[in-house]
Amino acid sequence: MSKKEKGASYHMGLGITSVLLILVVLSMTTLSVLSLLSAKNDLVLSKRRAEHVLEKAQAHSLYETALYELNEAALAGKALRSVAIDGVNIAPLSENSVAINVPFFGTLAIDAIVQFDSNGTETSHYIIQNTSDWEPDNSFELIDW
Amino acid sequence: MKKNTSSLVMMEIALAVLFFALSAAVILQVFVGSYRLSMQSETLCTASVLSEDVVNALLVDEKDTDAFFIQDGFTQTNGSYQKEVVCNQIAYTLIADYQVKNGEHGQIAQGNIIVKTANEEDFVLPFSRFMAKEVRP
Repeated sequence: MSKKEKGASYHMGLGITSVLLILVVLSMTTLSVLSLLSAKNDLVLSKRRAEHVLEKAQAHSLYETALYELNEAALAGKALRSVAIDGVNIAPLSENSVAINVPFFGTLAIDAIVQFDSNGTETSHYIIQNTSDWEPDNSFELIDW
Repeated sequence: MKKNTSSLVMMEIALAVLFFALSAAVILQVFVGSYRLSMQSETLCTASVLSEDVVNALLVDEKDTDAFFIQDGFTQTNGSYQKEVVCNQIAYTLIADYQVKNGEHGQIAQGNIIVKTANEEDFVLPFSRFMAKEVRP
C-alpha cells in the first residue's frame, strides 16, 4: 500500500498555534480599536449637537429677555434706545419698532423685527440666519447657455 | 525525539493560552471603554433632545407656564416641576426650575430644564419665556 492510498496525514507543525493566535489577537485588537474610534466620534458629535442646542437656547433666551424689557419700556413711554442687554443688538427702526439681533455660535444670528404699541407686541419678522460670507463657486459650469 | 516534540507543543500551547488570556483582558477593557463612551454619547444626545423638545413646546404654547408643565405631565416637587421619561431603557428625570418675574405690562419666566440620569446631572438648558399682558381693543 502506497503512502497516497493510506491517505494524507497532517502534522501540526511547531508554531502553528502561535501564528493562529497572533491572527486572532490582531483581528480582535483591530475590532476593538475600530469600536473605540466609532464611540469617540459619536461622543464628539453628541457634544457638538448639545453645544449647538445650548447656544441656540441661550440666544433665544436673550431674545425673550429683550422682548420683555422693550415691551416694558415701550408701554411705559420710555425710549426704546434706553434698553440695553449684553449680547443683544437692538436697533430702533421707529418710535415703536425695533430690529433685534442676537448673534450666537459664531456665524449664526437671530434676526427679528418687533413692533410695540398700545395694541400689544407684534413680531413681524423672525429668522435664524447664517451671517458668514458665502460666495458661490461659479468656476465650473455644468450647462453652458 | 517524539516525546521532546510533544512537550514543546504543549509548552507552546500553554504560552499561547497565557498570551491569549492577557491580550483578551486588555481587549475587553477597550470594548468596555467604547461601550461606556457610546452610552455617554447616547445619554447626552437624548438629554439634549428631551430638553429641547420641552423648551420648544413651551415657547409655542399660549398657556401659563405652570399650566403648561402640568399639562405636559410634570409634577410639582420641592418648588420645581419634575417628569420621568424612559428612553432606550434609561430613565431620565426632567426638572423645570424657573422663576417668574412680573412686570407692569407682561411677565417673563426664566430658568432651566435640567436632565438627570441616576442622580447625575447630564444636561442643563436655559430658557426664558416672555408673555405680554393681553390688551383689549
